[in-house]
Amino acid sequence: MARKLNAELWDKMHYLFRDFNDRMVHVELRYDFEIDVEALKTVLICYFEKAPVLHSKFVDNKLSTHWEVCPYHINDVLTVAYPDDLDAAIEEFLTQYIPPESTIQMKVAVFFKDGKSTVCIVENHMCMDGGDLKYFVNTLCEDYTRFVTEGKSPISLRSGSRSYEEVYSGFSATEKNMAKNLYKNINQKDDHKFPLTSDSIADKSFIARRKIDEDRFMKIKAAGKKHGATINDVLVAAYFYSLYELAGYNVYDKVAISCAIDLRRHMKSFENSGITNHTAWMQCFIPERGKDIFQTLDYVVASVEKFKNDRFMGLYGLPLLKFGYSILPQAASEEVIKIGYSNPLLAMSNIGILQAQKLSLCGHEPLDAFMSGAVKYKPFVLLSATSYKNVVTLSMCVRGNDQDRKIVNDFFDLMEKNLAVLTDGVNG
Amino acid sequence: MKEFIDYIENACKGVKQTKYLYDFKKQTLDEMNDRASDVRSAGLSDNKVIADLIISEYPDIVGDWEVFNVKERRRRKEQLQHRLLAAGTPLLIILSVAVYIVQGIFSGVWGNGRWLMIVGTVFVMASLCLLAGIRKTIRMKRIFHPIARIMCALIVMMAAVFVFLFCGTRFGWNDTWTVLPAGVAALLIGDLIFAFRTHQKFVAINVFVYTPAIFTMFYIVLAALEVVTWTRGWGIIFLGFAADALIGLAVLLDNFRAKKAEEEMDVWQEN
Repeated sequence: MARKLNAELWDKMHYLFRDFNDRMVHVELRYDFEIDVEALKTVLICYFEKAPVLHSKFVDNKLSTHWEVCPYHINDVLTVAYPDDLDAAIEEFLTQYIPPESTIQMKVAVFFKDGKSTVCIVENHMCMDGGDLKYFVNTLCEDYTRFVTEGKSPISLRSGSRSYEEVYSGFSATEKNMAKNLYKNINQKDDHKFPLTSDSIADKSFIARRKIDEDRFMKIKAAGKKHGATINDVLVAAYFYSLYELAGYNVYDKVAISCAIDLRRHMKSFENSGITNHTAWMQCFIPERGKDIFQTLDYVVASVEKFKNDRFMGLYGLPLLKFGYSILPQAASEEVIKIGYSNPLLAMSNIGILQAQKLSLCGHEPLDAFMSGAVKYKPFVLLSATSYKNVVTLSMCVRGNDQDRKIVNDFFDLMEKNLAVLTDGVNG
Repeated sequence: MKEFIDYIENACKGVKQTKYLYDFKKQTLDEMNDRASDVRSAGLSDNKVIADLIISEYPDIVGDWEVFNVKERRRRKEQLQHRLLAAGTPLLIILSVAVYIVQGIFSGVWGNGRWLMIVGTVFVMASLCLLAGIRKTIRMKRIFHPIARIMCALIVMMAAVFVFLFCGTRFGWNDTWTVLPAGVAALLIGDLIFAFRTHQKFVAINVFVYTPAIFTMFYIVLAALEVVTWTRGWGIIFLGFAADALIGLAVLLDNFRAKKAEEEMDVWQEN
């Protein structure tokens, strides 16, 4: 009989998001040497065995859901190619979709060109979020290096519970009791949209990116410091301001952007946790655009401060979701949750710093590294941000057409312009 | 793989030898070998990595052994009980029928409640079978717990029916029927105890529904036994509702205290 794994709360929630995005998380790492494919295969098999959810199919029989562990071969997971057009091959690989019914939930590719290698990873968000994928990739690089250089078996990936309840592990008994009673849903519906074109069956997934160079990044840091804001706050402020300009919202409109927050902040230790999702959304509101981007930034800082001071940040509504999934059959609970849950139209995920040292393979640091969230279906959008060696990469994964790609690029132009205003204002 | 054998033997060195230890070692080794062949079929050929990987999945062999030992003992004990029940139930029933026939032949008395020995044996054996079923069911998922609750209720009602038959036939009491409402009260109390002991959800709803029902049964029994009069005794039913109100108040106070603690925490955070 096939081995079954529990479908955890976030697995079910991301499954529910199938109407809003393709649930794929993307990683791209470029190295200046040729990777040992056989060694990488060994590491990947060990990791797939440590995290069996990666070679499981999601079973939804309408009454309940679970993962069914499936046999696989590493050649189904890892693709090795020597493309002529590297960027096109990367784009094609990264924009693929792995259905939840697939027997593997993560695919890896190594592209060789001119003595260099590019590692691309695509995985189903139902298995893990950006936080754990970052950990997964860091550990994979570390284990690869130790396996190749010292012959040590690559078995460092932690395994354990994937339950959402791990987020309560850092709480006292009283706090845990309080957190488990946070039934209210504090997210409000906001109808402001990103101005993409209408849906078309000809739409294709694409990843639009924009890099912010080191010089500008340092200026953003300085500007943030002056206003008591983090880099994330500055990026969110530029996101808001650029949206008002791009979409032509009324400057007095109240607009919300949902920011992904890592619930691991509530956990004391991860030793007993397997790879999973621990990400929730917090809405950042601004009451109006403000007279300039500096005022927008002040609004953002005030809004973020509000939820940062909350001991139970991000934990609202989890007991309600758990309750919904517990008492009703899967099909009915999905319908009920859809009524109460509104997927954010505008979202941002700051995946954070990708550390060169941790991503190095046998002493070779990546030339470039990048991660991004799922491809959103119109009208939903998600702006992802990662930084590598003080270079920020903004990305937006959209299922759209050339016109949409142009709109997203225009948005990035506005982001750059507004960030320049913000930073030059500080310097000038 | 030899590595697995060495690992298991080394880990179990300090473990006290029992008759189940070999079974545990064999089962663990088989599992490890199965896992190794799974990993090989996924494309991994490095034996050292396979051994390290599989061994890392068994970090606490002694702990696993202790769990296995407890489970195995329980399994064997239950297996023995089930065999005894399976063989003993028909045997005892046949024996009770035989004893009844023999005593009837020798004494010439077939009635006077002597047939109760057959009914009693059937009820006792049925109750033992149900108890075994309850033990098995409560170890299953919560969704199966209502089955255990029904089995509990059956045991209580069989006991009540037996007492009813026994008192009616042996002593010829007119009020033996009061045993049945008393049995219903016992059934509800038993169900509440089960619900509390197994931490069932929404147990408060059970309490609210059962309390007036239990008091009503007490009223019927006490009035039938002329401890209270039928006309005035109905106040007992109101006592049931009063008990409900008190329980409701206690739940509200408890929630209020929890809410207050939450508010205090908020104030503390703001400070």
